[in-house]
Amino acid sequence: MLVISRKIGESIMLGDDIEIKIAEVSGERVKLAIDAPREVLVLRKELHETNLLNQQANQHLAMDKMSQLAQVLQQHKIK
Amino acid sequence: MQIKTADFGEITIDEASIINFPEGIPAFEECHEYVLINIIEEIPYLYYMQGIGENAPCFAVIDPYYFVASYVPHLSPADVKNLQCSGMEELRFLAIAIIDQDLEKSVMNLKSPLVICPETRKAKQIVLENDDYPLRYPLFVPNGKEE
Repeated sequence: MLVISRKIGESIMLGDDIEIKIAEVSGERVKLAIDAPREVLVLRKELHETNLLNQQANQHLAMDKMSQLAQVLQQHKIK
Repeated sequence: MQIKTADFGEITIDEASIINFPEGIPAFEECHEYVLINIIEEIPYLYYMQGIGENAPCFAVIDPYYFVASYVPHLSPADVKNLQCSGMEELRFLAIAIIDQDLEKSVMNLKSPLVICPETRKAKQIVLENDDYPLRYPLFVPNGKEE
């Protein structure tokens, strides 16, 4: 992995047309200003992961699978 | 009103029970309306969340408090502004589950819960500020090591 050190106001370029600039640093938070072509999707990683997880969660669960789950849940009936 | 479900044919729902996600949910932005269906009466914390429309998505969702009583989601008022809820304390939280072939490996997403305002019936999936809630929280502790 490439690690680069930058100061506030400095940028890095990804290819020719994506610029990521350090806009502000305060405590643990860093604000980035991203300049990218419209067709490039920019997402916080957690949101990207949520996106993938949602796709995986869109499962078609037959009723018997749900009933099995219910049974397991009842066996585990907590506390 | 009649709707088509992915898994048990057509069912009748009360229109007043429709939940509206004005922005859809990540990966399914085009579907805005869902209904929560409690399938098994004895398990009141487990629902199907069925989207309304052709080829609408369908999820198993869970009330996270049944598993994690201490769940305290941190949200900013800006996150929930569009839900037009009268107060943050009114909000209700549900977690999307991924039911594994091996049921005991099933997980739920505590990092980005579905946040629902019961009065306006508007909802949104929100990535929380909390650092300690995983995207894949196991529903079951392996080997029955539950406290």
